[in-house]
Amino acid sequence: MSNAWPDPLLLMAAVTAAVVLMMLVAVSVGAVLRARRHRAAARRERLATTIRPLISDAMDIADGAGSVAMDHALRALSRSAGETLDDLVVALVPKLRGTERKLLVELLRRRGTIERVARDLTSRSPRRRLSAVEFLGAVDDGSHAAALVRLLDDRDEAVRLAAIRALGRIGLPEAVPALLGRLDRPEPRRELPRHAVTMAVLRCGSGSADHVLQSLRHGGAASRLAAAQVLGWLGELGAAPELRDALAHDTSPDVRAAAAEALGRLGVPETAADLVVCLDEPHPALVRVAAATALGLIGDTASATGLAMTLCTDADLRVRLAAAQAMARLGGPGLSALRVLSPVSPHAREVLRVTLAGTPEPPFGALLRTPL
Amino acid sequence: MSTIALVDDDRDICLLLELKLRAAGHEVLVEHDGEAGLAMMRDRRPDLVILDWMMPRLSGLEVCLAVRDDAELRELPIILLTAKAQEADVERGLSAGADDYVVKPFSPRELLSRVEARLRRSGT
Amino acid sequence: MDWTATATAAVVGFNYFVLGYALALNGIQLVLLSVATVAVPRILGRERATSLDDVYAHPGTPGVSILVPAYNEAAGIIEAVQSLLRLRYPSFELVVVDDGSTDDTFGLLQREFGLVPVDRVVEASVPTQGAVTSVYIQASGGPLVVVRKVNAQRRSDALNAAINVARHDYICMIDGDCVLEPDALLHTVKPFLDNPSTVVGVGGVIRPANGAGVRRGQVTALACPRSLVARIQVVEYLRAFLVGRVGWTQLQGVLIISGAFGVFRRATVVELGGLSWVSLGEDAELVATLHHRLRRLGADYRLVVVPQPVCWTEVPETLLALGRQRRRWSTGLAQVLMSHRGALFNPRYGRFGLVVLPYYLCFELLSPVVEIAGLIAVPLALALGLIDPVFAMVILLASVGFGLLLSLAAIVVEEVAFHRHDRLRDLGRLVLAAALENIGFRQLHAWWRLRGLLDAMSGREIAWGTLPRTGFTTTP
Repeated sequence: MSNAWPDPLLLMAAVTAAVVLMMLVAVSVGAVLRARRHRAAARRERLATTIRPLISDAMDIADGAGSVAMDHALRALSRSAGETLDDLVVALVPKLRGTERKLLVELLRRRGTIERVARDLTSRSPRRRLSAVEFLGAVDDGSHAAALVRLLDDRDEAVRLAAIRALGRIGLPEAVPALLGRLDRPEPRRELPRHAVTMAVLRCGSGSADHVLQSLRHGGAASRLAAAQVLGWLGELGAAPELRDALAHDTSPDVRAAAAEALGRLGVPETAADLVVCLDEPHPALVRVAAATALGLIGDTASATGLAMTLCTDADLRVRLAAAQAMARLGGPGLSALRVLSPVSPHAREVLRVTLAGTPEPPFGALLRTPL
Repeated sequence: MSTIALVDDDRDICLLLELKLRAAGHEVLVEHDGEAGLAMMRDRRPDLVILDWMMPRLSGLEVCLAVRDDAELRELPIILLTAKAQEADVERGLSAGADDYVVKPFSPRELLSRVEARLRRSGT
Repeated sequence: MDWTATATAAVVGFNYFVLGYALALNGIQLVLLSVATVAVPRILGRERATSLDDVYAHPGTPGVSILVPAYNEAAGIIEAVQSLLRLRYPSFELVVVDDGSTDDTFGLLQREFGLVPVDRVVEASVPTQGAVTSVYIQASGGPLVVVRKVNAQRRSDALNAAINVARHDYICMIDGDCVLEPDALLHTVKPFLDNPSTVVGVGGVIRPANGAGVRRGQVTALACPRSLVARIQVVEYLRAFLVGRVGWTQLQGVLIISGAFGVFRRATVVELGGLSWVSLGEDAELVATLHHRLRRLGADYRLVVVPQPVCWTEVPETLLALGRQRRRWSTGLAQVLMSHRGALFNPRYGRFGLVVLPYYLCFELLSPVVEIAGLIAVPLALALGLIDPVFAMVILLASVGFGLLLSLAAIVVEEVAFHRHDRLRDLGRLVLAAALENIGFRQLHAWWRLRGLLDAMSGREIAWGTLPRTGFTTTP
């Protein structure tokens, strides 16, 4: 069998050599990567040191003469210096506000960077589309909002998420209908996460309240839900009537619960009566918990009776707990009612104990919206 | 000419502010984490410190508390510069001993004016 | 005369089988490696600090109950809790379960954090064996809750008790002696928020922290551990987590979300009946049950392991301790596969039944059998002249050599993506450890796992007899 085979010892040596070689290659690869990284960082730092004073000056431009001088300096930059400048400015702009920020954005506009990057919005490479979206989100250029809205339907998930974030950072109220409306069109596998959309709408601020109300009135279940949440977070007192309406009549229990939470945040005493109605059994547990919590936040002592009833009779443990916590928040009348009930209600005892210990009770999260 | 300490883990902001403060005629000392910052303050005794909140090793809040506890540093004016913008955060920051609270995103011009005002007030 | 020929053929045939097995096993690892190598930089490249900030700043970000079972952890419990309290997350509670500790674990907690007793109403969402005796909260209103219960000899029982006490929508189950990255919860809750209708469980990468500088509950400087055993595990963990599990995530075949760190919806775990009281691999059991049930329902679901390191753990530094640990893991895996054998090779369970379970059966559970048998058969055949040295060398290359290549590749992936090891010297040390991992450690490891497998097989009757799960059954 083995007449032409090489000497086993030689073979062993060859194999060992191969193994050692592999290890050396691994270390070298690691070392090379490391060195490249350090060199790139050093290069960037060298460039940055020359460019930072330029940026600092750009923020101080007070007149036309200053801008002419700036243009001159910008034209003198090499390509890599220019890229470093763009990178540094883009990193700084989101952290600043006021005149300096405007001047920096103007700087980018003068360099033509914004237009150049905006062209990448339609690039074939998802990575470039992503960078372009993030750049535009950071430098607050509302003129490309329409293109960003189109990218809410992008093939690539990261680009879609970045587009949502960018619209939020730019903060244009006009983009809100598109954002909320998109929630109602659930393309399979291209859904927009509600979390990201509501964050973007929140960033658009109070100016978007009208648009949000529109969604609450006329939108699909998903956008109505988001709208109710946002109105509460924004603290839009003017939305109270609509929210009361949604609380009483909306077909979706999720939306009704969100409306209850929002009313709690708004804290309008007149809404307490509507919430007390929602403490009753026919309403789903989700809604009852939200209503109880909201009553605690509003603080209308007249709701103590309704809450006490719920504490004694509700079938769901979490509703009873929410009722007890709400009663504690009501202060005097609520606490006395809890004391009266403590012989029969373990929740009352727990909440009293916590209140006496001087601690705010741990928040009770909203019930799960999408079961397994 | 006053010495201003700048303690923030965001290098871009630090470099920018350093340039601006130097241009305004101050000497600037920079550190990027709370512990190093505290050590630097004990060592060099700056006239004012601009302090970030969220930092590795020791947070700005803890630095604040440490400075107010230290007999020699107690009078040091502290301006908190942070992204934490909730009411509760402002309360915490001020009750930990900060003299002023600037929220990011911020205006460098405005920050500089506050720095000048503080320095005037503490007689430097 | 005849049986000599048969025996010879059998031995030679087995040698070929060993070669084929090694090629298959390492081939699959290579596929996972390729998938992970492409995916990790892409995932990291898309991740933005701003997106984590959004999770932190959003008023609707769900609360998380962090569940920590603790048995006689007086040595490190204070530090562990302090580090958890510093996590960067808007709303969380920390439920520590003192599982009938006989040392001063509870006393330390009470004094350090100012605990007061409270009559917390605890719903029995999942069954527990050891009764809860008392619940404590912080007088200052902090997020710590300590539950004292009767020890039931099982970590899963402590976790189930914690699940009952927990009140947020999400739970994060961790080991008491892990140090978490400050952004761990932000990273692992985010997949739930980005894909609310499909993601059901999220894990992260666990890395050994032996020898690392841990300051105020955070890993600051990562040094190569001094102990060789620990170093080998660093390489192993990189291969298993960073390459293995992240790779499986892309292929949607995650079977194990480590008990050291896992985030789930509380309602999901409650519906599954909590953690298994029987299985030693209760973390794998939970995920396997998830797969099993969701496949049966035909639901569209995903399990995710994010590539970022979320959790640093102390790994055993002695061979003795490590051996015990690996033996236990193997037994746990055997129990999980046993209890889900109904799904094995069953097309009704899709990828789970046709790819994931068979992989874990053939290439994880049974691999020690093949390896040990191979260790005997190959030299035997060589000595008897039944196979030639070249062939033996080929087998060696296909198993050990190929394995070394994969370990080295995992190190390079880490270097490219995270470069947490600062010094070039450390890189060299890891490479050396990778060599030793494949030459020596691996064989020893196979022996421990074989014993774990034998433990499972011999203890099988007992395990089945006391299966207490209600509702959902895994046997068809």
